[in-house]
Amino acid sequence: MKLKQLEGLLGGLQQFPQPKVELEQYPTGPHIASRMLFTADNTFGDVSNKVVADFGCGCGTLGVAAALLSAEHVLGIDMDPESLEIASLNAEELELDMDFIQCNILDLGWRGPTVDTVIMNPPFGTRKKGADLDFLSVALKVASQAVYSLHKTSTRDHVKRTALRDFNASSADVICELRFDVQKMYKFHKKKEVDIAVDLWRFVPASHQSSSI
Amino acid sequence: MKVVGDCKAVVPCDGVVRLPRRGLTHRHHTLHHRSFSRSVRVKCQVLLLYCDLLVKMRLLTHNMLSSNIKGVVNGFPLRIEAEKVVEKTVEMNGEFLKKMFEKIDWKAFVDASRSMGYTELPEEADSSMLDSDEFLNRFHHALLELHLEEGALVCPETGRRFPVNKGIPNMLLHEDEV
Repeated sequence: MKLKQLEGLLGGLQQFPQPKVELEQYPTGPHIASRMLFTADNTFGDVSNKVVADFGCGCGTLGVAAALLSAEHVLGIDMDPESLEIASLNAEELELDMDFIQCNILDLGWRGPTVDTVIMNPPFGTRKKGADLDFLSVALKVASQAVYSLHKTSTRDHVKRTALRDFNASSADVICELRFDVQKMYKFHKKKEVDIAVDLWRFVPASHQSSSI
Repeated sequence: MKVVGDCKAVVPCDGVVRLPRRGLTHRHHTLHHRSFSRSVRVKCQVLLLYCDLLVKMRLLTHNMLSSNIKGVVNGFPLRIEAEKVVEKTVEMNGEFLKKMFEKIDWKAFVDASRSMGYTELPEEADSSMLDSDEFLNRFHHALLELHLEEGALVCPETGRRFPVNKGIPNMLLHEDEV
């Protein structure tokens, strides 16, 4: 599938009708989502024929993108039941098979690193400090091959240091810098639209480096 | 829930059917274009949508999860209480199955498939069996085509039930379980 085609399909997905501020629900736009998954698949071979988990999937944009790029099994996890309902609807509209679980990412139990690739647009931690790194910590335990994640560019050094030193990542690389455009969604937003600089990261979990491509 | 006629659709008991914002997929339209008169067709499209929406958790997912309640030492595997299981055909990918065979916990997988009513898997398996098409077909069917739609996942140590509704397991923990 071509990048443009992927972006087009993602653009038709339903997003949060009533976003919940406490969960930092910001939709991942089709531009960012398509580039994230396209790179993961095309450059690194981390999507097609793999088991992929979408952490904090919200309305399922990233998971749907993975499924469109022929991931063999996609698992969307979110604690918000309304998001999951929309996510399953989105998957259904594109005739994709995805599994969903309602749970807090930080509380879910795993048998081991059975997932190949974790993809996520974590809460950036503007409401609950460090929330994005909490997600990353779990992702690096669950993934056997790679973790793709978005973090604010302003936290780049901190993210790199923490991933390598505390979360046992064997590599942590910024693939590209993107603009995350946040529409005015919540009452406390003063401007109509704001661009936030975010980094697209690829992390490799340490103990499994040999099996990655 | 009740099952309706040939289209194997499920409607909620309260009869409240909500339509998605962007309408139905192309597939639903073509499927029913020939089989129903116009008035019936619209109804069935809605019902079919509900039918498909109820399909989510498969045994591959079950094999990855464990109970994470505070104090639980071995939360794997979660026991399955199946109230409703549905089957949905998906294309087989031999390479993927061979890779997954190395990764999954076979004993837990066989037990899970039995609690879903599928008894065709052997108690023990080794990788030489992957050369048999018959074995691959059964493995594929149990791993990716059986869906737990209604029921529960149960923690093997504490007996705490995680309900599965409309195919989505609710694994949220209570405050005192974290």
